Amino acid sequence: MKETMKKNLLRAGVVAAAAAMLLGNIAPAQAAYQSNGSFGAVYLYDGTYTLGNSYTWTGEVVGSASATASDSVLACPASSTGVSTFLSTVGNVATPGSWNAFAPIAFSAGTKNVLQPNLSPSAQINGNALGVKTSGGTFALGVACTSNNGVTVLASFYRTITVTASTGAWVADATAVDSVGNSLPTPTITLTTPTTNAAAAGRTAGQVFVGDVLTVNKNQPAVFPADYTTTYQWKRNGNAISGQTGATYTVVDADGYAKISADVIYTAAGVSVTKSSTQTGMILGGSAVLGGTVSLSAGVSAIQNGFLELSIPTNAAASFGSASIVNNYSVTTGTLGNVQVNDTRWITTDGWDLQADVATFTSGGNTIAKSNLGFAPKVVTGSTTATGVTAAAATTAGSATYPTAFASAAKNADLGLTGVSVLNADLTLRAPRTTPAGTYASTVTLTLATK
Amino acid sequence: MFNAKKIVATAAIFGAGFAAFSSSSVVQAEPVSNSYAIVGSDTLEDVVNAIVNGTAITGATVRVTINGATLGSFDATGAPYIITKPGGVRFSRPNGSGEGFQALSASIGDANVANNNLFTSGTYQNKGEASVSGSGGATMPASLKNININGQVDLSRSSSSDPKTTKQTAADATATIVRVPFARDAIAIVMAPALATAVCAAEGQTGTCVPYLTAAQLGSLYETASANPTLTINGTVITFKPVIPQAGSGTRKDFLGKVVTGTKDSNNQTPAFLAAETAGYVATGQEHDAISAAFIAAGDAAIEPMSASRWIAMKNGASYDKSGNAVIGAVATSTTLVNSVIASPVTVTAGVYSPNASYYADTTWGRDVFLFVERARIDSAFTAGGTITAGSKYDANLAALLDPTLNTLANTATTGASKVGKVKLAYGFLAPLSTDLAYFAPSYVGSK
Repeated sequence: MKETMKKNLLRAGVVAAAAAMLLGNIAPAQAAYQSNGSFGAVYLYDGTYTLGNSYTWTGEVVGSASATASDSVLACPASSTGVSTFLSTVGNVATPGSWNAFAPIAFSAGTKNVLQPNLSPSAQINGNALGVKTSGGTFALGVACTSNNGVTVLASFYRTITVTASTGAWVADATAVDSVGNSLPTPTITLTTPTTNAAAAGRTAGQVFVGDVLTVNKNQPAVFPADYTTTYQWKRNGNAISGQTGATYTVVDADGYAKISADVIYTAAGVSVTKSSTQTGMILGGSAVLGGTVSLSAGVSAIQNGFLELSIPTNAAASFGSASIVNNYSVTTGTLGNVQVNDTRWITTDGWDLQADVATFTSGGNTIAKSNLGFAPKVVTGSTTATGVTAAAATTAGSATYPTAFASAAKNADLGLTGVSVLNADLTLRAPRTTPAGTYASTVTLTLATK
Repeated sequence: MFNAKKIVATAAIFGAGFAAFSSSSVVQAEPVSNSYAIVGSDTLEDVVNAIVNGTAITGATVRVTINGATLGSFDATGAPYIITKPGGVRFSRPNGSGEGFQALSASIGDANVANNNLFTSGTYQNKGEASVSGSGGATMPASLKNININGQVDLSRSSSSDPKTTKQTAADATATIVRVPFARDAIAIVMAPALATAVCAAEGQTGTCVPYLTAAQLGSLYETASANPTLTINGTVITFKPVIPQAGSGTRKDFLGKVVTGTKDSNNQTPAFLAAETAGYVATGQEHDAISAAFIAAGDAAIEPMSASRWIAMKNGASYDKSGNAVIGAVATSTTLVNSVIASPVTVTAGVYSPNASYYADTTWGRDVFLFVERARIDSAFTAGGTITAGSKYDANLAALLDPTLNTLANTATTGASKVGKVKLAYGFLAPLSTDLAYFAPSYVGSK
């Protein structure tokens, strides 16, 4: 075998010519990024060179760049120095050290082309192909064009496959050109020839002036699929500039204070993808100026007059504390509870008066005259937005008279934003000394009237 | 290959190997097989090397592996010894089809029977010694003689249809070795340029010179009793200096079987031939080598048999070119010589050499070539007359390697760059005429 190796070295130079003549009809490779990230399409053919997508673990299968011919080569980049078939997780396509399994193969003599690579998973003799068979799952299976003795992957042609655990039977996902452009680079714009106009004399970095020549950079990596055609379109404020489809663009006066961008349109295998640069800053140095008059015209709508209403909570009841003896009188204090007056009569601003009347307190057959209830009105601040609202004077328990004024809003007062007035009253019931003990009930009647 | 971890692991394995086998193995000169080991025929060594080591001769990379493992094929010549398996024994290198069959026989012999697996190459290589006795040369170190090689050889290459024993039937209990058709070759002859020119001139050839002789003419040369044998061709007397491949060569055995006429031994040698070889009237060279010392020494009168496939492979750059400046010729028969026009064994189109199908199809000079294997390993029903349990030795991977319907060793498809058969074609082999299996008993019995 030592001798054999020596022989192989010796024969290498001669094989090229022989092999080239043995093979004549190999179609040129097609290489457009696939939706799974592959450098180009890979079609799978079985042992009878029939196209398919589903294979057994040990089934014979070779790769081709063509869907119609099994012998269309996969064209590795010219800088490739090695090539392997590989089986890896999808995320490790470009990491040979993390491939699940692989097998070194060879280019067709005198080229960087790979003809009918053996893509049977069982032929990936290095690594742990059987681990893939055992576990099953989703993997990438294909050909990696490498440099640096196999350390660097320059381009990978592969299919995404799903392996059935245990049996190792596998199915390849369909091929499709990358219609989104995930694998295509984003172009950028650079200022290649600055204008010498005086206006640009004070230029700072990043500024673009009328007269500058801009160039779009496709930013393609050194290794890039060969069969993409590219066209350009320059844009002003996102709108195509008619006729500007070259790689360079000279900024014109009409671009003043607009922003410029460029699209690169990639087309391969009938699919076009547009990749857009970011916009420049506003173009400076043109004849356009910033300024001028703005015509103002505003309509005014008539405000609709609103209404006056009194809002008392349903089943409203005053709350009293416990009775206590003060100066030998039974005295009970409490509060009426919030009531609300809404006045949205924005135009007429009539004002209003709120009045309170009290019925006689009764407990069975016993009574307490209403004059014994002291009623002290108050405006609840914080909740009241109307202005000009005042609480009436308090009455004194024992000498009170009813009905009595509760609160009022002056005529022509500002109703504020909402016209809401929230009112309350402190209550004091001082029962006559002769009054029998018990729970006495009464009713406060509120009456709201416009002024 | 690609990461440091694997390199470290490899180093560790070698280290362990040295420690464990230091008493029997010294530094290993060449790689071992990761699975099966193939030895034998020189004729087939390059094409088998290409197939198992990987080749891009067809444009596609073709490499036969099995179950994630590579195979190992060992040349007929090289260092005097080989080690075929990890941690395996060092044994004398089988040189040629006969010794390959012999080594296979020794490898599969019953390991429980004393001395049943001992092997010694008949040729102590690189020492200029040749022997057909199977006992090694006089100067062969004792450490290379009678080595137990049980399990060290899985397949043998053979350019001969019956390299050591006579064909048996499938029903024979002793037919424990099976012959698997591999490809089709043809036996041609090569001559020194001056001799070829003289022969062509005598034959009245006006186009491309394809010197031809009949089997009878060749027989007279190889059983000559003269130091300078001659043939008279159309009245022109021409002197020849015949060269024969080394002992153990399948091409030697096949060639002799077709041309010599006396009583033949198991290697198709007749007393007259052996006498001529011993006397030096027939020089002993190396097969498929037109730059061997013997061929060069024979000078302008040199003639020797040559495998047409090896000639094509050498001329196509697929094999190490040992064609020198010799000219390939043909053996004339009723089918190779039609209306006095000889069919050349090879055709040349735009500098690319190819087999000439009509010459290869000749039933005398065309020859199928083979791989031999232990029968029970690929035939699950074989019981060797009840001495082994059916299926107990069956190896599905080995069977797959020899299944002609798969793209493995026995494949003969010539359409498609990824096919093994296409590689064989580039190496000058066509599909075998017969795809039938044949059955043989082992050649090896007892100690040597």
